[in-house]
Amino acid sequence: MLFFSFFKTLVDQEVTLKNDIELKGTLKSVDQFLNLKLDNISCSNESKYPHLTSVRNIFIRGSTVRYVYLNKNMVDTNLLQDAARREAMTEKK
Amino acid sequence: MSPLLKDYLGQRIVIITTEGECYVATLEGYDKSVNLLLSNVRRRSDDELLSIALTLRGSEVVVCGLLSNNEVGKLGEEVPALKDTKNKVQDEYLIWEEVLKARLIK
Amino acid sequence: MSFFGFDTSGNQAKDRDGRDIQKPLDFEDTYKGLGDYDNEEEDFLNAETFGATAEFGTDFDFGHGNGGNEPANNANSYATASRSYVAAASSGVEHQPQATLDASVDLKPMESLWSSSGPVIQQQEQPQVLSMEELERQQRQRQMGGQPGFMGMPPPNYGMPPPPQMQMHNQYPGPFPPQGMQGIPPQFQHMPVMFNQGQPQAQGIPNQAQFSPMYQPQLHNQGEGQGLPSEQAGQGASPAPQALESPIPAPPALSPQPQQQQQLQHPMSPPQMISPPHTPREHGRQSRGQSRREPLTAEEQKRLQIRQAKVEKILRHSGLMTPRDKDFITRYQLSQIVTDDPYNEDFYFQVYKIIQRGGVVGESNKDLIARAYLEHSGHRLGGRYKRADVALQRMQSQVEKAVTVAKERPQKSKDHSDAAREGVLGKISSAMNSKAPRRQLQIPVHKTGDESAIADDNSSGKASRGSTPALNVVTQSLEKVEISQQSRARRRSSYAFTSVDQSSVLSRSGGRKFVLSLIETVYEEVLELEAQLRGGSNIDSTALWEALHIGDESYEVCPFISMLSFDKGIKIMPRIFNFLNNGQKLKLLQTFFGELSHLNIIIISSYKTNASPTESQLKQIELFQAVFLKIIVSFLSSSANFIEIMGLLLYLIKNNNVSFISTSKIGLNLITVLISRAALIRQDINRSNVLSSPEISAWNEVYDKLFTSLETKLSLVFPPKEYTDKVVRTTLGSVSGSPPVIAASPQHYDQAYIWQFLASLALSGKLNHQRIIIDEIRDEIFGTINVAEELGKGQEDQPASQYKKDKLYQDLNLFLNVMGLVARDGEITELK
Repeated sequence: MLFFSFFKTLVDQEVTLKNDIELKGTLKSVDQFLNLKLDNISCSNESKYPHLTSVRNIFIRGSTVRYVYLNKNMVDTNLLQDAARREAMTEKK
Repeated sequence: MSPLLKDYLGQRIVIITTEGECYVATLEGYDKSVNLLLSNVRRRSDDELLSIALTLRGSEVVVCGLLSNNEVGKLGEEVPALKDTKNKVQDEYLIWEEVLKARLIK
Repeated sequence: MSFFGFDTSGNQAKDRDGRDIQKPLDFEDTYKGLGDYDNEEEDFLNAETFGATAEFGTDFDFGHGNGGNEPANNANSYATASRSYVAAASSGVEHQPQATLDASVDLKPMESLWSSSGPVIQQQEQPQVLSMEELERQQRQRQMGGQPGFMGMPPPNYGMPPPPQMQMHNQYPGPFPPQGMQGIPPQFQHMPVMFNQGQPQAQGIPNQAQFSPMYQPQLHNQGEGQGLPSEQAGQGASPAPQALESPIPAPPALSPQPQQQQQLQHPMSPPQMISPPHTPREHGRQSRGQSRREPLTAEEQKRLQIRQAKVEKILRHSGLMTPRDKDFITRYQLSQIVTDDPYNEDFYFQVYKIIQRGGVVGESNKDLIARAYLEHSGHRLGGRYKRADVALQRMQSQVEKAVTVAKERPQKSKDHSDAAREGVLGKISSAMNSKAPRRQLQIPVHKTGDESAIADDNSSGKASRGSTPALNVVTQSLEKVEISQQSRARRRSSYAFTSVDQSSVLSRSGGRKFVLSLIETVYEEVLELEAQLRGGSNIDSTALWEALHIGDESYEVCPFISMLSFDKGIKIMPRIFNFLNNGQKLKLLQTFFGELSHLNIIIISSYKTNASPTESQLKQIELFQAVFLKIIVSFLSSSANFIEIMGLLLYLIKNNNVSFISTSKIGLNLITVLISRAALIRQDINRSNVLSSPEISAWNEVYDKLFTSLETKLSLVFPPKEYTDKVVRTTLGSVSGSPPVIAASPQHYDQAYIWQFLASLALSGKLNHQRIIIDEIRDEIFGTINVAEELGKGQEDQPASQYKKDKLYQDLNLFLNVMGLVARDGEITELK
């Protein structure tokens, strides 16, 4: 649940996804499989991959995402460490 | 059940699969593993009708994009092919052979 | 998807004679596990790919103490990360009624999630929390009890059944709620209508009233007539009864086909399956399409018809599931997104949101929980934009305060001191004096009485020893200073710099792996305690205390000391301190000061053992100052009494090679903190005369020990030029891209901490001590004055160098002021 929890904090933030097609858009929602939904997407290599022209709103299956670029100040690393520890603790139990 | 695809129900969507195929289809249904039930499935590049109805395994789905204004979305013939997302490793079996050997030695 | 695992093969239970037993299917028997998430294909390779065979351990270290070639951003993380905690904590933590943290109070969060089904839902709450099993049991009971439908269901459960536990979690941020709603298949949204047809007044009416006016005009205004705003359609459930009675308004522009279909539909469907609940959905669908484009083109109309036809097709199967089935599924689904403890499963999100919001007004009590977390987890690293030198500033102000008090003190024997000073510094016009031959120390022939006073103190101290138990301890250990075997071994080991090799220190305290996993254990204990605190239960910090291994004799070097070798070990300290009582804190600090020589941070901050510190090491030093030094300062100034401070100082002197420690920045800082605090207390107490004479004598003795160990090595506290140059260069490298001003005016190593140390040392000393200090560091004094004058000469127009000159004088004068002197414009004069 940690990543689900984590991505929820990024809602309404701009993120860039990369699975060869690089997408940039506003994260609208995320579910427990880390499927993502972006709004106002733009494709940074659209000339190469025009497949998503005239698509603004997109659903991405979480399992196919390779990277999500995050702005550094959108992440509270200390808190994230704590959250990860808690997660590990609950799994241990 | 993933609520994320709900908005797309009954709409024309663009689907990119792990094979690197790109379709336009109407989303009829889905489940939580993103298995999709599609109708009127057309190839994105030439708008050729591929199937009237189709189920697509969720594990094959990369993205589903909502086609603005439900336009036809034909792109033209010269669209470059997408890469698949399988990350095939060249001569992967050789690697596994090595792994196995290493294990046997252990 | 086979939700019920319904076996269509007809494989029914048979009794012994092979006859079929027509048993109703039980959910318990058929449902198990079928809703679980399928494995991805080739998941079985994951272990190979991600190396799952590797042990998942706790002995990791991502800090910057590690090899030194880690990227700088790593080092920055603590600073950036810290901001939010403090920001959130500082905003309004003061009103913090623990009592309101009761989980049942927190209803608001879920409101946002379910708001689309109307605020009425919040009216009531069901206090007990249902587990999945309980839900199913209820379900079965209802089935068996033959209750008609769900008439018995409590009102809050309809619309969207919000099991009470859900109300505690704001699972979804702002934009999410409507989707959470939509996540439930549309037909479920209409269930309540069916359940509650017996008591429709409960919810349907108000909503309906609000609904219909908007509904009607739209029908007439738009040519197509079906344009419902989609949100209203989304609210779906309530208008259903109305839709049931009124025929579906067909758009005039539409061809009659869909309507005909619909009319056909009605007779075909069994009564309870009649489409009414579904009609709104149909509307919703159409309206969604329509709200996007106003006029319908012929093509679009066609498509609309097709879609409607499809909808009809779907409706044909609409009766397959009974309301009970639907309700069960809804509950099942809800139970999966719901947890008893959002802070367990959704910790990051919950706390992050609160932090980001900064506890804005208007947010309901849900953030009290998070605030409680923040408050008790400590405000961690200081402040939003505060830098590492906060602790130093605090220490400096402590020294300054002490100096000021000393300045104000009427000088009883002014003549004496003047004469003495004259001998040491000479009659100075300093411009040339750095090259002037060093004068002999002129000890005034006329006895000042200081020495005899000390002697008196000693004797009287011995006479009245043991007046208080704590003091007893101090004085007893004073005697042991010279003889303690163990400490001698320690001193030798540190003197031989065996501690320089960090790995050897670690191995002497159980090994690197052990220490790292120990830190994780400590983290776990702290998180556990913080959770207990949030839950309002009694906290028991004994496990934490044991995890710290303080006073553990089984290792040569206390593991606690080695914990401080890692960034994450340092960072957790403030939160540990939140859970320790005063005695434990004191014990912890005793251990800390006692084993200072083994402390990695001392070793890397000493120019003797680490002549060329790397950038990451400097960052680590900074972190240590920002976090741990700060704790020590605040502990000393708030909780520690004079004897305790004395004891700590004694531990330091007894077990360590003080002159080595004084060559490190951190070590010097630590000594400064102790003696300046002691000086302040003495000043305070001098006024009210509370300090007993044994205490004074004990202090004098401790001070003498300290001084003796530093004597003749005082000039060594100043790092050599090569070292300071290196540090300056490294620091500059880390802030590359800073303005070019720096290139024009060479940076200087900030020696303020050294002058602070000397000032507090002089402050506590007698006149003869002061004389010795001045004598030993005379060259440094004049050197500093020279540098300042050089700065002033060349670039008077440059504010930067002017500032630096002032800074140098300011630092120097902090020390000189103690002796009633002041350096100004290249001259040392008497302080007026």
